[in-house]
Amino acid sequence: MKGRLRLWVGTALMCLSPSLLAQTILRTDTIQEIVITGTGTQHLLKNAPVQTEVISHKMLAQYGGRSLEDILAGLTASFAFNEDDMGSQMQLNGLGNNYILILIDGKRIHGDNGGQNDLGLIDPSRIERIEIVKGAASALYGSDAIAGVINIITRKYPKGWVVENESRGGSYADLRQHNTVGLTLGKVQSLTNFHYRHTNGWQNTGEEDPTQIGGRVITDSQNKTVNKNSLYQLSERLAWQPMKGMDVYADGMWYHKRIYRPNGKYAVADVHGYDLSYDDAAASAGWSWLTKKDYRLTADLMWNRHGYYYDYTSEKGWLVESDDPALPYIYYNGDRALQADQRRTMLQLKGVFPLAAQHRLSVGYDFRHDWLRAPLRIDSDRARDWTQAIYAQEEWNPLKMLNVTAGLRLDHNGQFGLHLTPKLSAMLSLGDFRIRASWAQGFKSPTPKEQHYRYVRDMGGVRLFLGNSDLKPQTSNYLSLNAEYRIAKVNISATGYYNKVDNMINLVTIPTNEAPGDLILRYDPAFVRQYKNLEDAYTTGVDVNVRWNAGKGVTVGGGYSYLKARGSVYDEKTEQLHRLTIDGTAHHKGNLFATWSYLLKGEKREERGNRIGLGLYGRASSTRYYENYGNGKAYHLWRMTGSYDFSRQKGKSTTSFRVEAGIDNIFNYVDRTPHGRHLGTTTPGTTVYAALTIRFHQGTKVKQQSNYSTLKQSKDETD
Amino acid sequence: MKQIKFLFVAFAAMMMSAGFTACSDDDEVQQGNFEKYLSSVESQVKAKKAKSGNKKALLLVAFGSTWENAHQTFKGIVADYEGDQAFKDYDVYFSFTSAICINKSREGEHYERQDFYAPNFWLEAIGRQKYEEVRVQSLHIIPGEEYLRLRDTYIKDFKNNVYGDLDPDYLEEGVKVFIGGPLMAEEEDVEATAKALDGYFSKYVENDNVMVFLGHGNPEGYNYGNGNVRYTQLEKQLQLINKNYFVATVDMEDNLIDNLWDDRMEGNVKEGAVVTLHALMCIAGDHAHNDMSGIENEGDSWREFFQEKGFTCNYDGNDANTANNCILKGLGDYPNIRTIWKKHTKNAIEMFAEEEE
Repeated sequence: MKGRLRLWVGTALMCLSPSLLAQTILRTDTIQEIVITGTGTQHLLKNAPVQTEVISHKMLAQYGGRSLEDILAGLTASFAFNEDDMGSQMQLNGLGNNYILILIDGKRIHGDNGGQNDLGLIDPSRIERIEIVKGAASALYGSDAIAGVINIITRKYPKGWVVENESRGGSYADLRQHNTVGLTLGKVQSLTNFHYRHTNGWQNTGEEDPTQIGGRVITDSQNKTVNKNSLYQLSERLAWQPMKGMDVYADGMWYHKRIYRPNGKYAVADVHGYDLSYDDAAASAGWSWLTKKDYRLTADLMWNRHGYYYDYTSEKGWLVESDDPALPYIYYNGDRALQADQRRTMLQLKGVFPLAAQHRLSVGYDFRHDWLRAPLRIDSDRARDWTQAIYAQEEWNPLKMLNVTAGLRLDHNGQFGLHLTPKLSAMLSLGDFRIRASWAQGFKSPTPKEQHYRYVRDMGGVRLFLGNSDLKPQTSNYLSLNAEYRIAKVNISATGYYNKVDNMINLVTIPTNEAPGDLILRYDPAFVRQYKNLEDAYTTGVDVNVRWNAGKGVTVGGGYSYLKARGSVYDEKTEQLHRLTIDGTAHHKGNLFATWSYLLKGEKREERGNRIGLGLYGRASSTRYYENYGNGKAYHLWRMTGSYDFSRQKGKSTTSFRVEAGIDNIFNYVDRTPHGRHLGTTTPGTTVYAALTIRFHQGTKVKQQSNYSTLKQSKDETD
Repeated sequence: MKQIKFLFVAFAAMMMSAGFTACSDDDEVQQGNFEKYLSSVESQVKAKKAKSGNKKALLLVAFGSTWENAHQTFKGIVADYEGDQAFKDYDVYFSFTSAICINKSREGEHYERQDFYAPNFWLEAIGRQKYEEVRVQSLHIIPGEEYLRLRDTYIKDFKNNVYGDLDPDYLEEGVKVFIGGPLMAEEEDVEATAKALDGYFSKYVENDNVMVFLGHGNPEGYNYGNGNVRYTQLEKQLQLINKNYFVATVDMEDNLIDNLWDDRMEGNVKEGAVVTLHALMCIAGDHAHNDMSGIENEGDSWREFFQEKGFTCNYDGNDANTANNCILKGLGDYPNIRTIWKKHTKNAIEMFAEEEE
């Protein structure tokens, strides 16, 4: 087998015949994009009954984002990030990662650190497109998606042999490797992926915020704005088609990430004593069947583990108290200590039944069990929680111009009992106009971490972070109204929304003496923060997106997002509600893009089908507001990218090449606010990157995992 | 069929390998680390004993701090003991109980790098060197939870050979263990403390100006030994001298800053008076910097509390500025207070002594 592979690769590389497949590298126009996230069934984007935003493969490829954070911040106006050691601090229209459900091919990612998902789990090279549905608008994915759902649709590979390598390098040792080997053996397909990413990180300032370090002035701190980090990910997927319309798969994933933290000379500010690392693993298996009656049935079973560790770097021994004073934990350089081991088991069953020409019914059952072991961080050593849910969704076209999608989801949580959340969306099509309205309720029970965690931060004074076993579930009401106008080359969409969250859970500073006595005695904290239900919070705003296909391969567009996000906390001193802006939110955000894609019409046959792409991107944010440690400064950043695609084909073998390069933050903007205070953006200034992708393919193209395929399936497609 | 088998065997292998990564040899690592850590304490004790030839050890125990002025206070206390003729036969050791303070001092937070160790490590090393007398002195203020933990856990663990490698005969017959109580161990110490404090601070309560001491206190549910009562007793004793002395705490139930104001100060002190603040702790550490003076984490300090109430209570972070009204010193800086601690050391109670028939 190896010999045959080498022969094919060699043959393909030597072959100089022209390509017909180059156009598959850059996909067709977004307007023809099919989306799935809002309803769990496929629709053309323009006819999706639940308002869905899409970052298409074409946009992704031309933008050349180094990470999911980079992509979402650069290509939408609704997202904000503030990357730090604890995660990317993502916000979607003002609500944090806790309220954002991130799916990979419809399955929620797992593992968090203080509510932050590790987005390093997502290999940017594997993303086919990204669908964003705002608000808890879908009954299908869990009502805890109070801010919205991001569904990462991964690339599907053609049948036969595929060998792919993407190597990327850039400023600050920004390195990325993506390797894929796909093969087909009869009815079985195997897909193996390896993903490596690294950055040395960067330091925008050596100055520390004196108010957090006892008034000291430090200007030569070693703390970085973004720390050096490396990640490795290996995944394997096996799929089998036992009969027409039926797919069975099993997959597994292993992941390791380490965040290197500096040890400078100021213990009060830049001596950390340990690095942070994540060890994740996942395994899943599933089955899907499209019956002759066009019923689609799916079953998925998933298991995930997210391990969070300290990797000690202290040469003299680092002492951590245990419950027994005689037996503290002692760690030296090279030792590691488990901080949290989160495990989740999920079962999802779903059926989609086209009942009549105007009706389509989706029903399903979800079960999720969460398990947390954190010997140093929760009182009882481990905690668990489970939720099950049944849901039903009806897509109904009473008139040709009207679609109504109604959903009901009944959640049953082990601690908080039953909760019913209704969802209702309607779309009116009037020629080139679409008007969409939706109302959706959300429900999110407190996580085991929010209930049971206790965490001590010993930098700049001891700070204690506490869970709260008296927390109530959070509920939300989301209302949105969207108007969209599409003619052949122009698409304008405006959405107004109001998202009210009751009992919102947030970390709130509490008087030290309200903390448990044993923790006060052991740690003597300078201040204590605890998860509390805020009285209420709301976000409201308008999102506008414009896109114009100007012809001759030129596309121009942009987005604007106005946001107002407020919460109320009961102030026990004044006995009044204290209104505050939700941390990290900005009133105005926007993005612009202009891309040019040119298909070469060379004189020689082998030059035909080759493509040049250029992109110019801008993004801006007004001041980001925070309760403590200053506001983040307003900024605008600009980026330019270029790409060249070409391929060679012989028989059924194709070798494609893609060369990319780009310059980010062209005007070298750097926020040098002292470390410890909030930044508008963590960009290090101007950076450059270059990447080369080589893909060899032998065989014909087929769909994989058809229930999430991007390929049109006439039986399950409304248009 | 082979393909199906292959698929599921591969799947099972992946699940199992994911499970195996969770296993570890933590206990073995911890055992090795303990020995390594202890060996650095032991080498210090060994060297000191070899040099002095003393057969008696004196271990001073504080919660710990990383602030520079706190380190100076600790150094002053140790020097005071070492220079005192009453302790010339003792090798003096000094200990922190807080792991965070130990780690941070080792990394040089606020001050030069220093190695501190917890009492269990010192006692184990002292036992291995077979000192014939071990005298442990609490540098705490009240007989509260910290003191009780020292007495009932650290010292008893030592006597009970918690690590199992001290000579049982030595523990049984070869060593006498004494414990010296905290500053206000007994009610009679309260009066001595009040007199000593007034000796230093009487000028701050002249002309109806006010002086408030910030104590720590044990939180609700942790006032086992009723140690908190000493704060109330001290305020009473101080007010017998001058009614403008007050004592409140950061953690004692019903004796927080709000309680002090509502129950005892409001209407009883001169409006617009100068309020001088001083920590009622061995050293001026986190609480003096945060809760008292608000130099860190501004917005919630006692200084700002009194300013809001219309009093003069200033602090600019410069301890040399005489216009400041927060005194960033610990009680351990004052010789007449140290005398009380040393008296307890001299009169320390022998633990585990056989009762006389």
